[in-house]
Amino acid sequence: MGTPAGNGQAAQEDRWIPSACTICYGGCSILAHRVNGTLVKIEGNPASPVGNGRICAKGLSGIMILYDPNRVNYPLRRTNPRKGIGIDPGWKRITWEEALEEIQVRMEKLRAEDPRQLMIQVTTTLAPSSLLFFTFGWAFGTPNMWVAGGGIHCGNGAHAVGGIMHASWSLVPDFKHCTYALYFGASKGHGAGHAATPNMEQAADARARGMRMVVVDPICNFAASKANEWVPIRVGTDAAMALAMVNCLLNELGIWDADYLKTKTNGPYLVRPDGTHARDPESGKPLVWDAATGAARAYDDPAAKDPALLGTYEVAGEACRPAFELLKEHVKRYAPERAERITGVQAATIRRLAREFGEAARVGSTIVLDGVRLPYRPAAAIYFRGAQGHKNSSHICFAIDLLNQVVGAADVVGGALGFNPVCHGHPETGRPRYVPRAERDGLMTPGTWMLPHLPYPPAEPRHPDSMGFIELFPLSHVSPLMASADQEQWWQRFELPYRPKMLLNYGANSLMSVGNKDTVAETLGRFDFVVSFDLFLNEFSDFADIILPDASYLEVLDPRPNFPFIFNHPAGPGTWGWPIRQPVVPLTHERRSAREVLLGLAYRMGLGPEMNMALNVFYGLDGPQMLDPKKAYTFEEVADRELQHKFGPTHDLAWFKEHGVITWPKTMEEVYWRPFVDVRVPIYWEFMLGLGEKIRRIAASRGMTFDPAYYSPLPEWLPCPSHEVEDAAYDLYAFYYRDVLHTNGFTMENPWLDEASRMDPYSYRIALNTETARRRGIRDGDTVWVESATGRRVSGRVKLTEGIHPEGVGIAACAGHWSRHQPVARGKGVFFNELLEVDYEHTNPVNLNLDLCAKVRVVP
Amino acid sequence: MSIRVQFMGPLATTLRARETELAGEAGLTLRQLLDRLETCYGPEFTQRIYRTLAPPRRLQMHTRIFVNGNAVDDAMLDAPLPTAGVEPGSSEVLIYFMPGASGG
Repeated sequence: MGTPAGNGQAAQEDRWIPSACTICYGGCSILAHRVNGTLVKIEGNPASPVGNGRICAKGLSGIMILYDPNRVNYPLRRTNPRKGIGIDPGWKRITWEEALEEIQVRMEKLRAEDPRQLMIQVTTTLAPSSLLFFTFGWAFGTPNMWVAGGGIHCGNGAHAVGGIMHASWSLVPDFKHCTYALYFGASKGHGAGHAATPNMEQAADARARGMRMVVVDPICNFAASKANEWVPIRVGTDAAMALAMVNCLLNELGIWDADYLKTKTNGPYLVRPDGTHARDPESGKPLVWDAATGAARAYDDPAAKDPALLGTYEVAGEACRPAFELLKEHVKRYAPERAERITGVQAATIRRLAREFGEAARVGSTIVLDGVRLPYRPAAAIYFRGAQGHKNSSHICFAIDLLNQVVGAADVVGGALGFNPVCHGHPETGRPRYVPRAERDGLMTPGTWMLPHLPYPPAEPRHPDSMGFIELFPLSHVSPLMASADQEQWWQRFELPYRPKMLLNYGANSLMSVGNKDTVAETLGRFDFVVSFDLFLNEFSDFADIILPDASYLEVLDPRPNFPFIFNHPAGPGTWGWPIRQPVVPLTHERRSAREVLLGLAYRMGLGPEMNMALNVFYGLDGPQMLDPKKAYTFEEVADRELQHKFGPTHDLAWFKEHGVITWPKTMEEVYWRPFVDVRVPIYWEFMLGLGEKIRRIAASRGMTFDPAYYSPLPEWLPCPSHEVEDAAYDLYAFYYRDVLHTNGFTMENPWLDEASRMDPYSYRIALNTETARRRGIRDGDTVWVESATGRRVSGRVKLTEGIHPEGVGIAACAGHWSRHQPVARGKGVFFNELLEVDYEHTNPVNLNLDLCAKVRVVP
Repeated sequence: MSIRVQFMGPLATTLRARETELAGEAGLTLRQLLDRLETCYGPEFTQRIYRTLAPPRRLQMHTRIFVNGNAVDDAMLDAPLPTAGVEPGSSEVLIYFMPGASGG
């Protein structure tokens, strides 16, 4: 896409180069304007559906990252053996060969002893590109990899429920057709999250079209300020409100979608008195009660014409009830009046919202699109970080999603849509292709997933041999035990046969992205050797032994910045787009692409066959594009094979470099896929009973216990540790929220975004309710301490607002840098994570999500 | 025919083996081969190959098995393995196992 300047003078370079942003994991498509070798402007790429030409403030500011004078430009080695927070490593410039030689020697020794001693740490900001680092781990033979706070903060709960109920990583309202969107602690379409910019466009259009939007959130920020209604809720209590709303729908309003529940969920599956399904003795399949013939039949028996959703039926001498009946009975425990006491939301409001949601869903209605009659349920309830960032996150997300399921508003026109759970592939190749399918008991498993283990059916739990114990908790994604205060205690109890000795870091600043710095620092101090690919020196660098100067996203190649499509490709109707990321300027100094370095390191260590096979797995390469285990490749060659594998030989890397993106239309069967795919989803998680018992048996033998209520088949509101603090002096709930200027990015050091943040009254302040502050004699602009009940504290200036729950203390982003290498970010904003404990007690025992709220007091 | 099996990555770490050779007969299916490997290496192997141990067993999504360079899926579990290698005249079937490890 070159447009040379033709003004009669000597030809000057003047090009717009298509690529992809990576300041957050949205990965929006960009056009980079390069003049005479210098990047002068970044805009959105209108040719790509990943942004449609629009881009956020972060994306515009990327030029300031590329040309930041504080970039790391040369390999560095520490000279000071002492490591600790704020201790100068005494960096000394070394050559790449010196760096690689030392890394290779140490890695080879480690691999010969036990490859699991290597831990790989990446950042979600650069996902999915950074996941490529995991291929090095696969080749090396270590299971110990994580995204440095990702998952335990942003999605262990939401993604697992998204996978089980929608075959996708996350969900959004069908912005094209939804008329009533209910947001629980989510910012989708309002500056944050996967596909952030495309969602913003779609959400804005939906609001302009008249979509009513209700935001349930402790703070009235980016989503709530644009909503029709903000419902302030006590921190971490969303499940109680959602369950009360389900109760209203089922038991007060009598609204549910019987056809959907009978055919697309396990609602009619019979449940025995012990909570397990009644099963066909021969096939083992769950039974339903066929009201037409008055007999129990397997759920997929064509003779079962009218599966009952309500009632009690005798099967094999036991009184069995359909799962839906149990759900209906279960939610009676969540009367709106009880939910009001838990959440602070008035019972009348809960009833009104339930009625509005239920009526908006228009149960039974259909719509004709492209000549096809489809179910029409224009209401959606979505959830993300705010709702799920708590110890009870699995039940919170499950409870909220039940709102969609009972009215049939799941992946149908107008309802809650997973991000692209179905793709039939490019018309010329049929690739990439994936479709959810029925697994055990007819329940859905996703057609593709972000991580090796699928959310359903959950893998068999087993005694762990990884640092994070995810083998023991198969519904988890990422584990806090990778950097927790009690990791050594659990490793000893479970007799982990090794200890991590070397850490390979890619762009993560885990000292700030996980929890309180002292706990993380202690875990980092356990490594003998730490290597870090970085753009800048930061707080984490104080623990590194070697720093390698990485190339920025404007200097590297990535053949798939928006795949898997379930992650950060816009959902809903429209167009498929597969962009690439490519260098828009050449590398300078001694910066190198970490991908190339890792590939070279693998070959250098004799891991070529393993590395090539890992890349074959990661990119799904086979046939003529499969990498030969016996050969060595450049990353450009790997990328070329990936693109040809998906789009054929005419769409190779050279084609993509020229055009930037390939597009093709989505079909109705892909977008509104639920009626077309024969799968069910569980409104009753029977599988949790057996799973929880298996885990309990393994865990309890080593002293690891948990409340069995976490593994109940129906969701409950379960309190966070912060809800159980008895000291009345600690009377507020601190939480963090996603600042649109800094969400999911490494942006605090960016001077343009800093300037914008300084103009924003909230970005660097502590939000406190005006009346709450008045009672304490705190005035706007005062400097206060926020002290947790566990003895941790942070300081900052107060911004008073009526737009926060009276018991809430809201802190934006991940600010409060202290590194002297971050001169722009240093000393600005508040480091919320300092208030968080990182240990098993504050961890969800189902999905290993970390509890992200803290009971605090605010003092001058 | 002879079958050369290469375990890679975390699977090799777990099994403490990088390669093994087996004799196979015409008509041998991949599922039968996996059963034989399960006999040799036990549940540590099987857990990383199948999503669940209980039938119906389905392959792990991200544990890829390549038979003579071709990726296989559930639909090919009960098909006979090739009886010859890729190279002309070779009777050795080459099978790669490369599991992707989960984070954490």
